[in-house]
Amino acid sequence: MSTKEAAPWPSPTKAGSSRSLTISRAQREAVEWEMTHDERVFMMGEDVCGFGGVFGTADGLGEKFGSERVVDMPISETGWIGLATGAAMEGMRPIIELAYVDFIGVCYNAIVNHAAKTYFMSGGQYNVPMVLLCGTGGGYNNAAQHSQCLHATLAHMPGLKVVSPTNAYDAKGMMHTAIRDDNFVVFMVHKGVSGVGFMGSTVKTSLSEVPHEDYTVPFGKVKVYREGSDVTLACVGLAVHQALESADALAKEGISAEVVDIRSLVPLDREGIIESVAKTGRLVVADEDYLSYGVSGEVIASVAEHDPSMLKAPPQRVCIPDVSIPFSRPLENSILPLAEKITIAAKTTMEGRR
Amino acid sequence: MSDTPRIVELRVLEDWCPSEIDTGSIVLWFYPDGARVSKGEVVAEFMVSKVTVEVVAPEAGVLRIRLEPEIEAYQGELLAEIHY
Repeated sequence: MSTKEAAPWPSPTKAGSSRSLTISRAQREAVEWEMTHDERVFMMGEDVCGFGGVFGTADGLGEKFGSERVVDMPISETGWIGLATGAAMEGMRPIIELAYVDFIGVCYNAIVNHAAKTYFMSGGQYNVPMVLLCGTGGGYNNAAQHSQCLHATLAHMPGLKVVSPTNAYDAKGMMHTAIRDDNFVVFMVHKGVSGVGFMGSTVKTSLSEVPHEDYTVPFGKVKVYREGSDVTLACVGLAVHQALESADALAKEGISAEVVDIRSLVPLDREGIIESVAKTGRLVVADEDYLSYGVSGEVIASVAEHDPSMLKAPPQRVCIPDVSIPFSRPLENSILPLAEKITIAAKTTMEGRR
Repeated sequence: MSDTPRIVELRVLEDWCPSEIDTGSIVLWFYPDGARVSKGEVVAEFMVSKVTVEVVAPEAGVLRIRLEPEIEAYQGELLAEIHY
């Protein structure tokens, strides 16, 4: 069994041509580039202009572009996401910063019934070229209302694209793609990988070489972080980095794990996942969203619908068991899809158990 | 320019660590040791009390890293040099 480490980003051609950045900084660079080159692009959200956004997504942009293009909004998400949708319909390209995805509850109507359905309801007369930024995930004791991922809550709905980059190179390229897309894109980044100060040490594997110039990373393609031959670990968000840790542990026991970053939930690269499972014959899906009715079930269904005989053993899901996320650190850690749990799931499927 | 390279030091600023007991650490260096950087460019992130600040190159030159990420540093401590 051989395990080849595949670098998920291109290596720099010469010193100084690209830098190692955090996701937060890389995606902000894309926003800045687009705002500089396209006057239709503007940013809107709570504390974006003066403070730079709670996760630093607008750091320095208010200073550079002023309060007319980096617009501070009151705590009234329904109102200003509706406003952004209207602006997008009229030809602007808003980037809206929702901060915590958990707040989706208060503006779900604006998103689901307006932003996501306007193209369809208008018979293609109006599109909504808007980007919604959300920080997702837990792992830092912020309790049930600030720790969710809610991938499926958004991905389930037709009419919008949902992406979740897990390294700086992808974050910048996918942000360019999102802003240039003529459709509504939800851009979800796990707080644990984005590289914001208050989350503590940045996950090393999320830092990557980022070119100075603009470039795009297409949606709807998985990224294989690490090649393997025994079991596919298909993951979303921070779980990708947990799976990389798990793959190291598994390698020590002679199990070669392939780590696949789903990174685009809608459109979902079913073929990319199937290709990996066709090779390994075993599948573990790790997703820090709730277990039931989630992306994990969708991924497994996609494989089973294609050809159930590809699976040598029952697939495994490592997700938040269907409970609200506890504040207490030991309780929270007990439900997060951490590396050890992915390792156990991989071994279970290796043994052919359920 | 003389034969011997001139050196400018990047140290932990008083703004970041106002008292002697405040500490912070480098989150990451954007460039590897020995890379050429330009004047005014952000070369690292420094974190103190959960706030991230930017470490800026005051001159164009070669970055010599003197403190690796995630090591506690106090006010005035040397982070890097730029040889120009």
